Amino acid sequence: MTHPWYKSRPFSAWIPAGLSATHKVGDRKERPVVDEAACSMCGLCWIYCPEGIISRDARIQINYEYCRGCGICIEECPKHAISFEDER
Amino acid sequence: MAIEFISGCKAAAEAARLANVDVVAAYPITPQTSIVEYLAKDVSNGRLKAEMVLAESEHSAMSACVGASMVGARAFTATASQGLALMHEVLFYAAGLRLPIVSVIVNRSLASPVSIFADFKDSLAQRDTGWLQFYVESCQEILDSVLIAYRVIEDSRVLLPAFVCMEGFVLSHLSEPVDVPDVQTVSKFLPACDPKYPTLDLKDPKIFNVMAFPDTYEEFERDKQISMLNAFEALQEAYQDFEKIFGRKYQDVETYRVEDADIVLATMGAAAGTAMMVVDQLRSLGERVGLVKVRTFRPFPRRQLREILSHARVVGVLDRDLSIGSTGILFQELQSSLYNQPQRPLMQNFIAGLGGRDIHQGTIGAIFQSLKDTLQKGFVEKNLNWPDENREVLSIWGLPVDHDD
Repeated sequence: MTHPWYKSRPFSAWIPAGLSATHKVGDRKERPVVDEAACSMCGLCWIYCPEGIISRDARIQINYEYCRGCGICIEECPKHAISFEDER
Repeated sequence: MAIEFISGCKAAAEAARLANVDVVAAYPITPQTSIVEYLAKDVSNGRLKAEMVLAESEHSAMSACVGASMVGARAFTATASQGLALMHEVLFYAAGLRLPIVSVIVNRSLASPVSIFADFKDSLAQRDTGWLQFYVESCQEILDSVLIAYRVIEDSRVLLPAFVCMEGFVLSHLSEPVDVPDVQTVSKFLPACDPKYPTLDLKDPKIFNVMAFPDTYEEFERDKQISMLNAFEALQEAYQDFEKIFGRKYQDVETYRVEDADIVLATMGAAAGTAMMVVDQLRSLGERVGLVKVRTFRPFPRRQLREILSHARVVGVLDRDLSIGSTGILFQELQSSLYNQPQRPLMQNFIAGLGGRDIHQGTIGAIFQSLKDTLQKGFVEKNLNWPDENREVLSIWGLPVDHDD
């Protein structure tokens, strides 16, 4: 960490605001991927997503910039249409 | 510059006005109340351009000071006793966020039993919060110390909050001639508030008070420790400038006739004035006695005290406080400072003046007599002494007159 703010004394416990612009997601090892052929568009994943980053218009879309990879959508999908894929 | 006949409370309020504080947040408590009354009057008649926040509690008053200081305003508050105890939680935030807030403490005992009178229990109970602490002896010193405190703690080497402590009624309600400088002269010593720390700023938003995990918390504490010790340097510079501008000289440790003294009494606050008279009386009888007044209690001037007391043979510590179950607090600090000296003096602790009991010449005379006996015997018979005990009450309650630590 070599931010100028981090080097400046005295060290009161502060950080620059707006970290979500540069740090969009935590340590995500796997991402949920929707199998559109199996998806019934029921919307349970959209309801249960704790981050609110699943959209359902013509199809289910997950915003991977903010998805934390918790896997709740996978657990809730009645059609088993969502599964994890490794990030790499 | 004009000599005015004012009380300690008025001197504190005048100091805040001269420091041109931006925010005063306070809650009234005896014996601090008139400080806030004077400031409220100054704000309402335009003599002081500041925001007056009349909070619903001391916890809120200190929180308001923290908020004000975080946007870069010069914040001031004053409290005492139970009020200071209620502020306790927020004091750590103020220190940790490195906010240069000055709070005048009008020392008063804590309940129970209820007492509105002076001892140092309230402010000394806050000694580990990361605030600087100054103990003053006269109404003039109150005014001067508030100005010196702002100058030192706003220094980027320090950036910690500070208490200026005076004994309730003994100083707060005592009127003395005080040299009240004019605003122009003060501005030469204490420049306008220019925060040298990260502030709340819409153009440069920040998140304050984030969590520190075990890998960094210790270093935050260490940074506060280093900054607190840096205050000695900033204080020396401030004392020199203060003397040049106002002609009054201050020191972290003030000494009186200690150069060739075998017996030295150390104390804080207003008792030092009485002790000086007793030292003079004993000196005229040929006794080699001296006095040390600890003005700066945090940071504790360990090195200076080691040097000053290097030739003393017996050191007595007069504590207007008691850490129940141990000894007086100044005694603990002083004894630990001297422990690693190759030649250390015999030390005795004297508890007096609790709950506003007057520390008069007789008390201090008895202390010096006890110290003289110790010097002759060559060993300390009793560490903990009560030179002004009320024997009648002890006898009614059946409390032991003779006991030690």
